[in-house]
Amino acid sequence: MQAHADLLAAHDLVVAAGTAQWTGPAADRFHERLDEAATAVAALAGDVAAVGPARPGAFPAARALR
Amino acid sequence: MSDTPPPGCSVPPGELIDLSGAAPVVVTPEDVARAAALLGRAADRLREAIVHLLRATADPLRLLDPGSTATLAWDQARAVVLAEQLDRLATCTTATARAYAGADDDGARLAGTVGSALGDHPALLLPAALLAVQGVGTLLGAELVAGRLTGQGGSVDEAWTRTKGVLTEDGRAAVLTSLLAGVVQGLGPGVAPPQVDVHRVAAGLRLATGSPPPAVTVPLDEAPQLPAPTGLAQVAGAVHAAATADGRTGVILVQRTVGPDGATSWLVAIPGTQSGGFGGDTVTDMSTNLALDGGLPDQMTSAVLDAMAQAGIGPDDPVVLAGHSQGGMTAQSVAVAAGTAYSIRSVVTFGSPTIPQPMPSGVRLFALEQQQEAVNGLDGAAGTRTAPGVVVIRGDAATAATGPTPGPVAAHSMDGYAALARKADEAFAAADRQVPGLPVAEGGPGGAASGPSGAASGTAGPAGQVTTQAFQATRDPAVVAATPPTMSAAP
Repeated sequence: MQAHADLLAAHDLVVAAGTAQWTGPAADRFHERLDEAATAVAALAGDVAAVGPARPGAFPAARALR
Repeated sequence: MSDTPPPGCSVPPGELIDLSGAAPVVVTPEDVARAAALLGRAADRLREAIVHLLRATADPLRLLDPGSTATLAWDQARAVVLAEQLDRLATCTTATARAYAGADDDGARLAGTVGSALGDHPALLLPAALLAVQGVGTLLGAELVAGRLTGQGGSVDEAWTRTKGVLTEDGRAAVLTSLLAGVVQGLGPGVAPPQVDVHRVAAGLRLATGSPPPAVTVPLDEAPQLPAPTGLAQVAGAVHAAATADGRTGVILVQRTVGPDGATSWLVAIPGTQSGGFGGDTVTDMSTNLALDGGLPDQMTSAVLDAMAQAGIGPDDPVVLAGHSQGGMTAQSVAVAAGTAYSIRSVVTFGSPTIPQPMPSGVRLFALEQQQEAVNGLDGAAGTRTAPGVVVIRGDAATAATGPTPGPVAAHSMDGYAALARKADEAFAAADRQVPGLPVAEGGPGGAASGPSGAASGTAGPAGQVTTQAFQATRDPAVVAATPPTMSAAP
């Protein structure tokens, strides 16, 4: 599903943002936010993958229609 | 879409190390702006995912599986919230990058205010000029009276000697220069020029004041005992030693460190402004200030290059140049003038304006600046101090002060910068960083003296054998007459 690919790309971008050369208290808060966002996006991607057609048996009715 | 910051998000390259707070902040503003751009792109991809989720949710086949439809609808709602959060984070990060890029211009803005205020209010020109003159006159008068009361010497000459000491000890001379520069700026074309090119003004004033007499660089018989320059604290110590060497002016210290592995590295320490005059015996005077600020040939740059040649620095030996105030400008100028003759690795400046010429590629400039500092803004570069290869190390002079918050003059003192250098060393050690070109200590600072005496002094320590040589740049006619000229007066 395209949404899954979009979410994986968004996750990679959030992780890449964490490589900024920046340390200090504000940077610590920034990285905490990034970790939360990356975790949330990964969870979304996991959900989508779980219900997507890639998982065998996820859509028994659709399979029956083929 | 590339990783470059979007329009309106651009910041000058470089690096800022902010040591003014409780915890050090090390940031590359350009890098933070790039992170903001990435977060914006992540939000865009989330919005694309939302569209695809919407289509998937509406798929008739999906309706046969109510469980997956509900999950996707719920994910869609979460993605909307997440995209908004990422957008906010990107906006905040962009603002942060901008703040860091401009965070080091407080002092510059303060100093720049002098010129712009005078330009906007021509009526202030005369009072400002009088103030500059009066500042010196008041000090001289006070020293005359004090000398007679305390028995230090009540003659005008003796009082003037002490006045010059006061002027240069706390950087007051440099601030008076700022005032004078403000007057000159205000006298520019149109009386109130909206954009003043400080460098051009300085160059014009330097040319208007005429060429100073010839100067020479001579080796001194004695040099202070100094530890190996393994960090910015020792670099600051060497600069302070150059400025206070035996009461002389224009003293250049050249330290050679031979490491345990035989590798040789060099530190050249240069003093700041030591005379408020033009063309006197002291080379570190106002004429040199104006020449450096104006991008013109100056005698201190020639003197330092002369000292480096006399000291025997090899073309491939790593060299660090360091200076306070004017000395920092000289260090930058030497790095530019040296070309391929020397391997300049780093330039360390303490409260110095930036000269017009950019640093050569491969030379890292570490610019230490106090928040309250005014002198470093004499280049008129407010808000643009970060640049390729430049690491700005910003401090708060108030944190190191025991009394009231230091003003622009007190914040310029080398004592405060020595404290900032120590904090910078701690931050560097925590980040496992090192100023390129400095020797690396193995286990601690340099130890007891054991080197030769006379023109050079030596210490041995974990970083290796350290030898310090001292040279003096002077226009003293007697010394010039007795010394074969090695450089001519700057045009």
